[in-house]
This record gives sequence, C-alpha cells and structure tokens, in this order.
Amino acid sequence: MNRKALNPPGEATTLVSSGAGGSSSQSPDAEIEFVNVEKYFLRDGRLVETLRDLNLAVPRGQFVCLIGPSGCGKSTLLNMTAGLFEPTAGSVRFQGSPVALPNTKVGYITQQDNLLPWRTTARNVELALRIKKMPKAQRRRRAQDIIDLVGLSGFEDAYPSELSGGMRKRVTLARTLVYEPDVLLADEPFGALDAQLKLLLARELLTIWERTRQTMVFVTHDISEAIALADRVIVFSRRPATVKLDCPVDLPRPRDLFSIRSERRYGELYEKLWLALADDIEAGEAV
Amino acid sequence: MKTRSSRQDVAEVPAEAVEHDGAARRAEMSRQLQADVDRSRRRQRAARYLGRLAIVVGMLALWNYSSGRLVDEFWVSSPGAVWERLSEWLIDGTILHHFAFTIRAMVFGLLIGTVSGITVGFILGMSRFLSDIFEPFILVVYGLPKIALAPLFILWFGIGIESKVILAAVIVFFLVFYNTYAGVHAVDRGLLDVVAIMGGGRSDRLRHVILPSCTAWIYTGLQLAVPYSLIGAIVGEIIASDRGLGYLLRRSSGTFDTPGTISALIVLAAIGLAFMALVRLSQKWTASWMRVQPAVGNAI
Repeated sequence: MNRKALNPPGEATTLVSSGAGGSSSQSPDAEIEFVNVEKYFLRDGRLVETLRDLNLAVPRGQFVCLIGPSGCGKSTLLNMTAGLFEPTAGSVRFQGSPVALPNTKVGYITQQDNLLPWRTTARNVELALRIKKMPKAQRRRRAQDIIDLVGLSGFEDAYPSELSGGMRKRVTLARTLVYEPDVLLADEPFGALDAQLKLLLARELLTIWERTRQTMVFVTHDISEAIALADRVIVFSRRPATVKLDCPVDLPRPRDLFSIRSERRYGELYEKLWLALADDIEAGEAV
Repeated sequence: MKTRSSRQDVAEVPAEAVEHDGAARRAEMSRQLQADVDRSRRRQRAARYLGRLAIVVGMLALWNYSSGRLVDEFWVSSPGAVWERLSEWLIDGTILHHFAFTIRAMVFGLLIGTVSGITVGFILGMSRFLSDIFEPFILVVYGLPKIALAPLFILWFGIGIESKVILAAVIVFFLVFYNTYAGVHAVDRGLLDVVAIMGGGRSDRLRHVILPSCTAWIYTGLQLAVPYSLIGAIVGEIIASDRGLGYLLRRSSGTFDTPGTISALIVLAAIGLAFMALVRLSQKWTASWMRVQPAVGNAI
C-alpha cells in the first residue's frame, strides 16, 4: 500500500541502481544538488530514459523556474527532490546529504489540488501541523494566519468541493506554507487556471515569497510566468532531458507582474528563452 | 399560465426603472419580484399535489368500478375490501406481529453484513497478495444472483429467522464489501504522497487518507444495502417461513385471499418508502464530499 502508492500512476517500475552515487562535486551553498543524475522508467516493458547526465545546483533562497517541452522530465526532477523516488544513477543531495525518502523538508504544490475532500479549508491547512503534533490552539492560530495571508478569510469551513479552482489553489498554497518548509516545489501550480487568475495568483505567490525567501523550484510551461517570477530560468531539452540553457533573470525586485512585460529586458529574455525552447517544441510536435 | 417560468418574471422589469430611482425603489422592486416568484412556485406546487391526488383518486375509482364489473372481484378485490382487511390486521396485531419479525431479520442481516463486509473489504483491499488469490472467487459470487442462495440457506438453517438473517446478511455483505474494496483501491495516490511529504507515517496515511476516503464508499454501499436487506428478508420469508410479511404475502396468495395479498403489498410499499425517506434524510446530514462516490456491485 505505501511504497507502491508513492509512485505516480503510469510509472510502474522504478529502476534503482545502488552504489552509483558520484558525490564528488559539492558546492557548500547549494540547497538542492543533482549530481550526474540519470533516470529510467520501465513503461510497458520499454525502457524510457527520462533524465540524462543532469547536473544542477540550486543555491539557498533562489527562485528557479524550470521550463521545457511537456513530458521532458521536469516533474521527475521535482519528485526526486521530494524523495518520492530515487534516481537510477547519480545522486540527489538536499542540504548537503542524500535526499530523504520522502523528503519532509519540502513543500510540494502539484498541478492537481490534492486537497483532502473530507476536510474543510481550515482543517486542510492544519493537517501538516496536526501530523507534527502541534497543540490544537497553536495550530488553529497558525492556520488562521496563513488563511488570512492567502485571502481565504470567510471560507475556513468550506469543503474543497464548494470552492472555485482559484480558491482551491490558495488552500493548497496555504497548506504548504503553513509548516514553513525549507524548500517549495511547485509543478505547474496555476496551469489549469485562466490567464487573469493565473497572473493574480502568481503575483500573490511572489509577494509571499519576497517575504519568506524560501528556496523555490517552480515548473511551468509559460515563459512569461517564468521570467516574471524567477531569479533563474532553466530550459530543458526534449527527453532524455538535459539542461539546454541556464539563464539568470536580472530583473530588479520587487517586481510588478502587471507592468513587467513592457520592460525592454523582459523582451530580450523572452526571445532568448523562446529560441532555446522552440526547436525542441517543434521537433516534438513533428514526431 | 402554469408554465411561465420565474426567469420571465425577472425579465418583465424595465431596466430604466431600476436606474432611475434610488435604493428604496430597488428594494421594493426586488421584494415584489420575490413575491411573484414565491407565488408562482406555490401555485406550481399546489398544481403538482392536485395532479397526484387526482391520479390516486382516479385509480381507486377505476379499481372500484371495474371490480365485479369488468374483472371478477376474486382476482382484483376492491378498495373497500382491502381497506377492511388492512384495518382489521392493524387492529388485531397481525401486521405488527409479522412486521416485527421481518424488521428483526432485516436489521440483524444489515448489521452482520455491514461489519463483515467492511472487515473483509479492508483486508483484501490492503493486501495485493490476498486479493489476487481471492479474485476469481469474488467474480463467481459477483455474477451469482444472491437470492438464488435462499433455498440452500433454508435447507441449512431451517425456516426460522436464522435463514432470513443469513440471506439478508449475504446480500448486504457483498454490497458493502465491493464498495469498501473499491474504496481502498480508489484512494488517491496524490493524497498519500502529500501526507508522506508532510512527515506523515503509515498510521497518518491510514487515519487521514485511507479511512476517510473509504468512508464515502462504505456509506454509498450502505445506502444500497438498506433496501436490499429488506428484499433479502422478504424473499427468505416467501420461500419458507411461518412468520414475517413475506410469509403473510405468500399465505394470503396461497389461500386465494386477494385482499390479504394486496394489503401485505401495501404494508411492504410503506416500509420501503419509510426507508427511502430515511436514506434521503441521512444524505442531508452527511457532508457534501460523501455524496460523490459511485456505488459498485450487483445486489440481488
């Protein structure tokens, strides 16, 4: 029930080769580090190479966006950081040591809301604190603070099914922020929302992040979202994914998401990232 | 007239009137509109009830008229005769006597079937190995009409209440078992992952994800199980018994007592209606997330 259940559907078997941990190159400041990571999946008896020779270090407090063609293994990267499965070869290091399975120091915001449908907003937000056995009164207070922060006051007693898509996203955000994880992982969190709502929620996320400055790894397929949010955008190639472009975003903070698109530097970055992405996307479409 | 919808009522307000006057005018307008809507709703409801009443009266009249004229009264009896028999049985305690027996068989069957169904559903649901072993057997019983087991149970457990309890319990067991089993398998892996990343161990996953997730499925199974446990008890009584509403039904028809047969059916319909009302009430009390699960399993 447990070990099996932790693998996402469709990825039936995870190949794990032991002892192939090349852990020589450690940068001291890195919160997350991928060293020579390779990842294979066995899908319908066919070996699928998802990540090839991936080396990547994310320093503490950095906001990194990952973009790349769909199905290229960005989510695999997040899942390995969250300790939901291990690399086939190479090693994933978290705060200087191999990543725990599962990694309880991260908060993971997935594309699906993954809210517990039998818990109200407040009780969903409290869940992590309850698991960590925080006293009830303290738990209530903390949860309420975060609920207010994400703008859900008045919806504490609503069940997820009674909330709109945007509100459910806010609950997911609140539920993750409430236990103050060292690192936030986000997998296209606003992917299913309409453009205006997406911008609005991205702005709120940025406002909160500029206060907390947690390390953030944010997967998106939206170049403009990536530039607007990140300190650094990493473009992945088609599967097997390798880093194609590692592009620092030198736009000043705090940023205004509504006006940032009219800046000249934004346009330059957009073009650069689009060029890096384009041929892989076109090649992917042609197949 | 009656088909005029409330939406048309709203559209009748001229837009400029709303803009012209102040808040008081708007309040007055909305009050008036609400009154209109309420009135038309009341009218519709009254018409609905009147229509239903007309059908009942019409049926009774047709029955009363045709009995003895179009069809031999021996076959269809008459409203008066049935009423007489029903009130006689109600007063002399016949109904109560048989009703108590049926309800007891039903409730015991429901209890035994529910508890064992949940238990086995969890055990097989959580163990891949066991469910693999049992799968073909489950499929065989799934396809078998459970009612067909009644003669065997009567052979084994006699014509007393035991055979009825067992039959009801078996029907309930499979309904609750299938739903529990499906519930355990339908647990969202994403939710399990979320709890694991929050630092939740095995017991947290069971308590916060697996059990509540299955609760909705079990509840759905129970909703089906309540009326079907009545079927189990009645069928057992019809086949072989010396008490119970099913027995009353069979005895009446066996002695060519048409008013008695119809009276017993009326009592059964009333019980079924009462249980349906109970299930509906329980739906109102349960949280909205509980109502979304589809039920699985064939009952009879």
